[in-house]
Amino acid sequence: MDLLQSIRIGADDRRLLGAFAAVGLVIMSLGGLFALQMKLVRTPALAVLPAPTYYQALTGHGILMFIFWLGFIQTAFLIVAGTVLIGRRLWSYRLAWAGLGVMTLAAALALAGVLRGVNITYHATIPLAQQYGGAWMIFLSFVLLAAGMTLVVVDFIVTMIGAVEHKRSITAWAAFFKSLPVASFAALAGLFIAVPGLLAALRMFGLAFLWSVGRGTIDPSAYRMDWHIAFHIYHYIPALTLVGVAYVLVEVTADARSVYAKQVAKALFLLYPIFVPPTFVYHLLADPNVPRQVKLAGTVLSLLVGVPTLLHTFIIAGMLEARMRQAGYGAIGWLRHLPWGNPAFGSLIVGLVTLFVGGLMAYALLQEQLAPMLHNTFVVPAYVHPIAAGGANITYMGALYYGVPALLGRRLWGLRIARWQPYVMGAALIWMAVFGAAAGLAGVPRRYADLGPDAPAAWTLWMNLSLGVGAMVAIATGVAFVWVMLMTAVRGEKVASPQAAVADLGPLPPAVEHGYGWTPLALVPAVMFVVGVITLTVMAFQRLWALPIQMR
Amino acid sequence: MASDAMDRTEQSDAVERADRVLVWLWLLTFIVGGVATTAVVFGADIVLTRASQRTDPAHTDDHPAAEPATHGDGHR
Repeated sequence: MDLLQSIRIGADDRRLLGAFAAVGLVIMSLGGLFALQMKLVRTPALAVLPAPTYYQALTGHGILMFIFWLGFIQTAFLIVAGTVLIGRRLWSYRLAWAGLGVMTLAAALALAGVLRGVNITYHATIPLAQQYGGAWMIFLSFVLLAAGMTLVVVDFIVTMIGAVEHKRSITAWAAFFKSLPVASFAALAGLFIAVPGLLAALRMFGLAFLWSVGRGTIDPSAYRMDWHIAFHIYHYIPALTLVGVAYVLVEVTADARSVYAKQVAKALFLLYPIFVPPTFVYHLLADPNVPRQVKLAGTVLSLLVGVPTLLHTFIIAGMLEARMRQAGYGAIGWLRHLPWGNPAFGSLIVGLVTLFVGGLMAYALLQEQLAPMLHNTFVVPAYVHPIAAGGANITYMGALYYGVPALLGRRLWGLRIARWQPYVMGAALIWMAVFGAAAGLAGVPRRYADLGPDAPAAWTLWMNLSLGVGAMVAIATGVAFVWVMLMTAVRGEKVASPQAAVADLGPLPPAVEHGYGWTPLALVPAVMFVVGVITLTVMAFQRLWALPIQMR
Repeated sequence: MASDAMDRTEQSDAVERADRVLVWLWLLTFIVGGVATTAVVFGADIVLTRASQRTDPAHTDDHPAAEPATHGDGHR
């Protein structure tokens, strides 16, 4: 309750964050439209659009959803972490607006490139980009996005440093870190990944842009390697951010506080910059130029990459368990009394569940011997969607269920829709993942517009189930979310404070009756994950050994 | 009572120590994690290219992707 009650949103923050949310939601909607376009080509039963449109849709969906939507929403959360959550003003609102302006220009340029037909996917590989005269638009859009985000990151860093009174005093920094909510500390830890990633993107895409306008040469191999490294760094920002958001959501939706020292939760975020960098190799396991010893080392280190998230999940689940037991509920019965009807709480739990499913599949993909069997098959999009569209995106939607009403000073419109939206979306993404994995294991390739005239019947079945059912339902629930946000902005009942705007989203648990400090049930998700990884690995290796051709 | 006050003081000292430890961990992460990430980002391709040349020098130069690319003729 304290975090929610302490939130005050100043006029400058309201305007800036409102603009980020508005532009971000437009970008997400466009990314969703491209997703629909893809499904209307690639789904065998729904293939009404011509195959050549697939690659435009694929490029638009990947760039707008994964690069731009996540970039916008995560930058907005960074601002929230440095202002609203800690009761401070940004060092410079002009700089932040400049960053937003540059990022918006970047998004417009990327969209123009996609509509012009620069079908180079978000990889924008050099040999492919050579065929498109408009490739410079995509490269420049990436440069501008990185530049805009860098402006906001600089603003955030100066804001945080400015909050420490005696900057050379360890005690002053200790007091500052102690005052920070876990989510704001997560943002500080994320800088160690974000800043090198942004610098890498500026360099790599800057060189690619110059090459695309005939002002330089570029080594395609070096670009490919650099792209995978920067991409790898970039996609751990969502991992860290969604966990930070989860700490906020568990407190505001369920009044749950940590029963373990907050310093432990904060310190766990520092594991991400340690564990993440060496694991970029798992994107290169099918690359014949990478020595086997490097691949083995990369795979082994990659097995650790989920450890911080697993530990955070234990803490978050433990916060819920402790709070509900403190309210007097039984050892198992407390689960029934959680605020399942609160759309933000539903988004939190569904986000963690889809992250779990995607994470299990990811642990198969990052293993050196399994990767060649799974690489570039439909298993890749099958795992990406529960992790990114589920784990990250649904959790962010949960934050927006609180954030948008609080920003606008309006109650959420369409609470009935919002109550079921995250559950249906999560179920659809898991359905898409399961049947998509079946399709990939059967041999369906990634990034093909159609299955071809000689495709096995099983391919058609799996793809119809994965995309025709799972993906289409996920898109529909995405539309429902955007509709709720739009109608909240237009028709939501005006109220006097952020707290009043979210008061009807769901009841908090009853008051604390007694202390309760240990959380055995919170161990279950982590144990299930480890058992799941082992089980899936055994199944995958059995599949591998049954192949008629053995890779040595 | 005196013993309760002493317990609270000891707890407070432990908390302050933990917060200072967190600052040092953050600085360590800045050095190790931040620098390591930067090193990976800017140096890994060089290291991997050299490593692949050491293990299989004959094929590297023949790879078509190893040729520097000039901007193509195909325009859309």
